[in-house]
Amino acid sequence: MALSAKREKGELQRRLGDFLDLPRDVFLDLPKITLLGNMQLYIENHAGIIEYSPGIIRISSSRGEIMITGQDLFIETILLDEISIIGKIEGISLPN
Amino acid sequence: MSKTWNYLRGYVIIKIEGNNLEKLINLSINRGIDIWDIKRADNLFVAKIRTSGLAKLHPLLRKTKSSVRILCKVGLPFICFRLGKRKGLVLAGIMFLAILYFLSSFVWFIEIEGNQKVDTALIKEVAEQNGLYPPVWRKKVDKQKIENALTNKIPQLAWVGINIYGTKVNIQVEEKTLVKIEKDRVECLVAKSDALIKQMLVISGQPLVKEGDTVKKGQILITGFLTSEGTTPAKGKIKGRVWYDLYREAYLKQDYQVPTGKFAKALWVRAGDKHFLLRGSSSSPFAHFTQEVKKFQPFSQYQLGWISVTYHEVRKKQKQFTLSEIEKKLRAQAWQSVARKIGKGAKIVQERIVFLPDNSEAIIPGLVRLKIEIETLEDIGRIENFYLQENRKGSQKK
Repeated sequence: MALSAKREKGELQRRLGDFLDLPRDVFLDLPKITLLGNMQLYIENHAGIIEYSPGIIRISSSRGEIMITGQDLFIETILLDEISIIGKIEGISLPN
Repeated sequence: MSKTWNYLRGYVIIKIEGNNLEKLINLSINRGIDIWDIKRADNLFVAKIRTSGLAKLHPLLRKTKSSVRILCKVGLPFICFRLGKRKGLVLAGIMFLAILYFLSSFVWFIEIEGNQKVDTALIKEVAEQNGLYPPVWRKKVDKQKIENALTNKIPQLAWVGINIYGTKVNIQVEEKTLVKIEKDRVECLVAKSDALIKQMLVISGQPLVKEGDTVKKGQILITGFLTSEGTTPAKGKIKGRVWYDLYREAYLKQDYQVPTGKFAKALWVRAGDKHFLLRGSSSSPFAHFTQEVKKFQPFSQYQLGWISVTYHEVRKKQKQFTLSEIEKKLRAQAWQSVARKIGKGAKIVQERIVFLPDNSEAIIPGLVRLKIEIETLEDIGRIENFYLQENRKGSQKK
């Protein structure tokens, strides 16, 4: 019940956003991911890190967990809503 | 930019050990602790953090049961702190700058430019008397006063300009150019060449010759003279007959050379008085040839260079000229050589060509000998200056 209510709320927000022609990342509080080649990754609107090791980094967001795999990964900067990861990025898996 | 800013503000590199490091990172960013370059290995990580952030981090360490160690302190504040301990060094640095600044407010060098006849030492001495000497305090140098003093005390100077460039003073001078006053100079009209005078027009001065006279080269035709008010220069126009005698000879049979197009090249290296053959042959491979020599001396002061010689093969030919052809050729040669000698505006009065006899025993047969006489009517006068000497009558060429 709670899940379907949340989903409905999200749907409503999306429609309102479309109607007002607002950028979705601002309106819906979605993580915005920027990838620079395979060497740098920015995530805005994150909600903290779950797991951190040189081979895998898991980051939580409003929509679930973002998983980054690669080699020699490290966090270059981490701020309240922004994170920058450097290293050889091999894979990104996004929440459903 | 951000790296420079970080360096200026200073930061510490820390090592954190613990089991729940992800939580520690999340907590610290929630508290607004600036933490970056986080590198992870097993149950520890190394990160960079500001000194202010380090204090905020301590309560979190207790919460997550982690321990911290400072590995390194980086940045300007730490350097300043370390320097603060070595006060002597800092003091010496400040002293050095202060002394440098103090000394740079003095004039140490004086440079004088533009003088050719006036002695540099004299200019320096006058400048010194007016308060420009090394070392003098720069503010005390009165440029206007020194400029005036220099122009007043050294009459040969027309203008003096003083510029101060840091510790160097540049004195720029301009000398007066003295005009020589010539009181005893008399202009006379003299003959340019041997001539027979035909026309004379005297405007001023005293004529020494008359029409019909023959004159020698350099002879005074009209003389200027001294009067109580000054000198009267000789002025006038004198036209005379001038003869140019020329002699030219040539053979009726003449050899000439035709290049065959074949050529050979040789290259020599020259070092001092010695020559070394680098390429080609040392002498011409052809029996009849002309040679073209080019010298390259890029380092003439070391007497080093190379010489390229090109031998062009030629074939000798002989041509029989007719008498009129030879005459034409010799006449053209004669006119060419005389053209420069004949004055401007000259009128050619007569040209005579005389074939000299070639039947004399001493003369080689086939040789044409030509005498060309050109007679012109031209202006023969030329102005020359004569300097009168005291207590002596007449003129003397200087």
